[in-house]
Amino acid sequence: MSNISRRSFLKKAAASAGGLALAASAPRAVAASPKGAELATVLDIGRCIGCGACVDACRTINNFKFPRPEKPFPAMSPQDRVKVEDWSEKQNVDSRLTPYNWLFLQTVDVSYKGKDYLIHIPRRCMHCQNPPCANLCPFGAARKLENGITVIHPDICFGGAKCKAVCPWKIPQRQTGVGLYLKMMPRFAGNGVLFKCDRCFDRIDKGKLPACIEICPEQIQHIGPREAMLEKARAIAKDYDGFIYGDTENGGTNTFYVSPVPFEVLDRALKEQAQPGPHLASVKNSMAISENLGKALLLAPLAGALAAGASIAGKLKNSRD
Amino acid sequence: MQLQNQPAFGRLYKWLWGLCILGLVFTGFGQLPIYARYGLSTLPGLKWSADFYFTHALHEAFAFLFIALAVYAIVIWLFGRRPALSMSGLLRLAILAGIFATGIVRVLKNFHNIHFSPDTLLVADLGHLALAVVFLVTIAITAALSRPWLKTGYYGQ
Ligand code: SF4
Ligand code: SF4
Ligand code: SF4
Repeated sequence: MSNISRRSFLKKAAASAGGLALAASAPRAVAASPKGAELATVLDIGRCIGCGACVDACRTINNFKFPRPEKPFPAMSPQDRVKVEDWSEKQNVDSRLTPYNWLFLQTVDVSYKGKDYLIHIPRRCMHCQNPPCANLCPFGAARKLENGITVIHPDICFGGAKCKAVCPWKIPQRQTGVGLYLKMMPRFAGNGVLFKCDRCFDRIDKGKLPACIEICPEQIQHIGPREAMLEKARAIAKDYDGFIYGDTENGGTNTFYVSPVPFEVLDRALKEQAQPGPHLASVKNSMAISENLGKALLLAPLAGALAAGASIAGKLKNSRD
Repeated sequence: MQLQNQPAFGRLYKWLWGLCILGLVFTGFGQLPIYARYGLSTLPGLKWSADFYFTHALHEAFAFLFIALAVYAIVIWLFGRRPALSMSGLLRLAILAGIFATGIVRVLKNFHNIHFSPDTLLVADLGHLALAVVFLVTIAITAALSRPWLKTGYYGQ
């Protein structure tokens, strides 16, 4: 744990003494995945105390990746449709996702089976297994790494925000005035760079834990190979008689939330209690149609060959007649 | 395409080929976030042009047509008199082959279990886009200069 994150950790008085001892023993898990295996995380939100240490740690550790926009921003056309998105003056906002805040907490008051719960939900990118943000990025800027982490390359991203448009949770956040578009035709194309949780891929590469996981005083977050994490999520869910979100959403993600309260109840509460940001509704596989059409493409050569065969046969018949 | 003198490449083929290229270009550029920005999707009946999932599916449907038409042409060529391609025909064929190859990588990457390195995808993504632009410029020039796909002298023989 770096000095900075430890400071931020200590700053959180809400963190329990027990949690402190546990967190201090980090790194406590093997973050590296076996070759080919995707990394996944488990978040046992039934035990999250909402201390916000993870949010602070993320902001501190990843600060060096945050945008440093050049001002004034170049004018963009057409003015009425392309809006400047500038979070550089609101870097302190930690109650929603921004280019400077890749993780935030949703908090809902819910009742389920006669019991009251105050549930805190740390929200960030789900790291989908077949991420539409990366699949549909036209520039190869949003990309899925071999270990299952989805990242947006800040030097390639053009800021069109397509990744956000196609993300079922609208996770990536745009900052105007940074990135490649400035060097091309900033008036006519592009609008900055999109930012989101990159699962601290640089720390993972060094065998360290993501900052949010390392700091958590309650150790409610775990990271490891997907299968093992899924097993862990199921075991926690069994203990609670609880529920899992993220295992099948959008065709499967690498983030598993485990809750004692059904996610439909939480999702409804998010709306009723006007919590910002990503929902907790069930999500169909966004890439399903594309995958099916991709399979259908395999039949295209056959269709062409059959049509040509028919045409040749027709000509032969005509010449014989 | 200037193959109308052969019965195998009749008007229907020419028409389908034109439709296919037009469809691929329109839905392909729709993969860039420009139709909403430049107000195309606000025009009556064109709201769908800003729906990335929809234009992506349409692009794949046109890609089906493209591959089928290309294979048709190849089979006819193989079993016919194998006329030689002109220089501009060869150039267009090479560009189309590049677009096809990078497109296939882009199709494969959408499958759940297929993973390419980010750098491979960067080349495929940017290559697909760049080749599409080069192809558009090439067909504009060949159309302006009326350059046929096949070596001159073949037609009408
Ligand atoms: S949650 Fe959104 S941003 Fe994250 S990997 Fe999935 S599609 Fe991409
Ligand atoms: S994994 Fe890293 S980047 Fe993602 S939310 Fe946690 S600290 Fe932030
Ligand atoms: S996940 Fe851990 S660090 Fe984050 S708010 Fe919950 S208890 Fe605190």
